[in-house]
Amino acid sequence: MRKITVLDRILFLIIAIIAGSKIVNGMDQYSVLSTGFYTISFGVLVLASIMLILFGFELLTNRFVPIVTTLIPITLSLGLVHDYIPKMTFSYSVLLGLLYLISVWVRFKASEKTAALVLALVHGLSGMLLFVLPVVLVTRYGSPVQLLLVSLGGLIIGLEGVFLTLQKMGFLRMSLNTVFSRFPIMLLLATSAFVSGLHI
Amino acid sequence: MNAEIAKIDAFAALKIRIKLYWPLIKSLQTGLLLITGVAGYISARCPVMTWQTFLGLVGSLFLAISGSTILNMVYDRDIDAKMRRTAHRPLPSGKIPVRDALIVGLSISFLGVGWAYLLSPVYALVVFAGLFIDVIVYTVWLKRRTAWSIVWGGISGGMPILAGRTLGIGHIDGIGILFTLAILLWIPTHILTFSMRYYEDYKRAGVPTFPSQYGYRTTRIIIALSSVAAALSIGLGAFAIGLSWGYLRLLSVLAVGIIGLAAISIFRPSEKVNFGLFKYASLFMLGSMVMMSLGTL
Repeated sequence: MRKITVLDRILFLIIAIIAGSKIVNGMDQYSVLSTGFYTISFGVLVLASIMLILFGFELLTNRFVPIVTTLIPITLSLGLVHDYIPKMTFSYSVLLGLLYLISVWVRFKASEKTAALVLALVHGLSGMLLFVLPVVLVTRYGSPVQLLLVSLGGLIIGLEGVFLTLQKMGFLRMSLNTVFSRFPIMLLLATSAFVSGLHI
Repeated sequence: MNAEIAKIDAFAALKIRIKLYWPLIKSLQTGLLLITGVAGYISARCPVMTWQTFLGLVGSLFLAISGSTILNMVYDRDIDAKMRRTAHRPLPSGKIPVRDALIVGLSISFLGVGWAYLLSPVYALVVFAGLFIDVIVYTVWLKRRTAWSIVWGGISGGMPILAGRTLGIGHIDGIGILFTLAILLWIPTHILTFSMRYYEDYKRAGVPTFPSQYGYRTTRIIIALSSVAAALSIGLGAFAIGLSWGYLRLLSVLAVGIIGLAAISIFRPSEKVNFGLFKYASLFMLGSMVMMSLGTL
């Protein structure tokens, strides 16, 4: 297992500061509900970064961590839906909420593979929306181009998640250490993209 | 030429002396307590903030906290010598004569309280109370008699933030007491975690601790509950001083981290999680002090 370095810790600290400053200063323009959604997503980023500083990369191998980190794409996509297609908020929330509850239940009751599969479904759905919705909004409805950064952030964090999952399942030749070695920079890029993309 | 050499020698000697005495003040702990004092002062939203008062606050608190820490070290040198973790400290290892340390400790304590008195008598009273409770009540009277001495250790630890706020607003108020309570509740996280981690050390030194009197499980529950209560007190205090919703949101997020770690340390305890909770609680305290300062500036 790769030991966390000083540079990794500095990068995680920067991520926590960027996400934390978004929570403190960057949400005045949103409705109460969107603020709640974005607070959860950036809050998970803050907490994940601090926990990684304290516990190292070993934390990422904990089977319950994906349940918490899945909240990032879920709540980010919920915030986007509520901001841009508010009439879909209720149905999308119910769908994702149900799937999320099932994924938590499965994590405790079913095998590791089934749990991973259900979680991948929730992750995939919310991640896809996070990637596609800004593209549609910018190209079709003239939303600010800056919003594409949210898609970029979703792509980066999604790719890292895919690498991690494929590696765990044995489909990737890359070692876990290699995946971990670029994790801090990928997370930093994704966080910066989310914060800049939502700074509209 | 000779005068110049003498000057350089004196400077080098002073440097060596400071290096030797520095570990006596537990710089990290002193630094964190000093930050709470500064945050307490800034939380008062003092309309007139001069650099002289600010320097006075930092200087007097630094001297008083360092002084009480040195006096603790002088009194506890016998038990420090019995504990592996502390045996290398300057006093038990004989690097510094006890008499010299006592003189330095008393001198800077008096200087600190005296400087505080020049700033404000009420402020000086709180600073003196912190020093008195820490050295006399906690260290000399209770530490070797009961595990509950940590309550008094906690109260003395809460005095810098109360002192800072008292200097800012001119009197002791409910918010200051709430902040003191937060530090009082945070201190057990620090002391009890160490008393579990260095259980054998404390046993050898004959110091009563919670793990030795009530067992590990009870100690872990107390650490978890006091960490959560400390986070709640800080949150309430932050709300009471009118911190913006943005800062309150971030404080809530950070508090969720404490609650999560506290729950894990109770239900799935491990050395790593327990020490992680201690480190997280310290980071939380530091972070909330920074947020309180930035949010009220």
